[in-house]
Amino acid sequence: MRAAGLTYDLPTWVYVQSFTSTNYRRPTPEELLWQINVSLAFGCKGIQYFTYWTPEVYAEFGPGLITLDGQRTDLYYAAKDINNNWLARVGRQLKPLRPEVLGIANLLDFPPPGLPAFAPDEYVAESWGDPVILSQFSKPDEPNYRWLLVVNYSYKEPCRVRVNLGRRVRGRGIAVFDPSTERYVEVPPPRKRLDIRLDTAAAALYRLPVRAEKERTSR
Amino acid sequence: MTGQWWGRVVARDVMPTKIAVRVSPTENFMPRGVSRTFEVTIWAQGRKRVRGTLTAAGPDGWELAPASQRFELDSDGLPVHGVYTVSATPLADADLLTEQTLTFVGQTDKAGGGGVATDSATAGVTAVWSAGDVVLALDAGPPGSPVLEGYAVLTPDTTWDPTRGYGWVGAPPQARDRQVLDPLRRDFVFNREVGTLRLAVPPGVHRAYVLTGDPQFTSSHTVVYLDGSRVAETDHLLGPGEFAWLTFTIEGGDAGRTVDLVLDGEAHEEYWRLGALVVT
Repeated sequence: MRAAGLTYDLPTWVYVQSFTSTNYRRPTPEELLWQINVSLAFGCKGIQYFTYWTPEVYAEFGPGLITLDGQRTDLYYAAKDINNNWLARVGRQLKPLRPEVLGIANLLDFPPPGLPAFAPDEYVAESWGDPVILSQFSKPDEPNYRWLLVVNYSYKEPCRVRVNLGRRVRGRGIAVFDPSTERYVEVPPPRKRLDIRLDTAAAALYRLPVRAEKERTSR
Repeated sequence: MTGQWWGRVVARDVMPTKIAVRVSPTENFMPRGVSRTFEVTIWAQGRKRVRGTLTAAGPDGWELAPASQRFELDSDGLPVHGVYTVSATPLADADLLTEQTLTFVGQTDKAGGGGVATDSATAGVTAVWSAGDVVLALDAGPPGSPVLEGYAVLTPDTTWDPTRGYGWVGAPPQARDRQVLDPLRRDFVFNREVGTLRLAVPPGVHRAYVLTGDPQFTSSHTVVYLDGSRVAETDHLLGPGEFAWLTFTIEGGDAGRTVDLVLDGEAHEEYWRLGALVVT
């Protein structure tokens, strides 16, 4: 889906599982957040819950976010918290950005289908620590910035990871998105290094000032 | 990690080495005296080359070779993997029908930057009889499905033959190959109608073992009748992937004789299942 969307320059949407059935167990709030953040890493521009209300037609369906008789479930409150305090806010940042490079770093196993292994480039040179998904974004009218979304690959435990940035990233002005204020906050030194701690299933969005190609080649 | 440089303490930016060990298969039924290869995959991530030692250990009565071997992986900062093989053999004194554990431990060398990293993986193994040590060893399943080393084939087409000494009498059963687990457990014969398996039993007293269960589905009760008596049965419905050995005695008398094992299914879907039969 990501590849098709990028090829034809079409936004992709996804619906995340928020129900129970005979074949699918009920996701935890962390798994709900994980599905959303992994979708953001893959460049999705629309995220829906499947299902919001509990379908009446299928006996094997358990509750969605809202039960059949209209009661709010624990997942409803989890979704509300995610939507209000993270997704809506980071979504405003990511929506105008174009997905670029995606990869899973530090995973000591074969990557799942559709998720390539992280490969160093001019923006992200190296990573170590716990497994994370590194997803880069660009914005055509802001060529002096690159964005990096770092997603905890685990929906069971927090993670710690180091990301050493590449040669096209400037040392000054690297900033992390603060969803509470919806502003970017400059990352303290050391420069060009991100030491990141993420809660279970959580993600962080970084804005990286970069040297333009022209500037770099003229030296 | 710190180091001295011109009198100043300088923080060294060293990527810690980490490894992960995986083994395949993770469980196996193996006849005594028969070797099987386990593939051990070592994943490593370190600044440069990751060197270390892979060791394999098992319970008494099991031989693992090599017990220790070196590994070397060119990580260069990214996760890389290498596959190493270990041959495991249950010897003549290996405990029968008891699941035991083979342990594979990978540990990096101290040298090489980033310190020592270690990880391990285990495989569950169960020793069964060598076909050469018993009166009869049958592995049941559809024609063409894998057979445990040395065991004779028992398919629905195996009708009674006095020369061969075993086979079905009356309506033949059905058979399935689930294509998971080892040759003994992956496939079996089964039926809702009673099945009669005739055996030529040599003189003396023998112990019989019937393997029943299904890798993927819940099994009904399997009941065995011998000489008109109910001699063995499962004591609970076996879940998917759960197996049981039903055991009973067969009297061969002074001259040996022919006996009929009658298999019946009860409860649940009322299918009996037979994966293997061993007569000692």
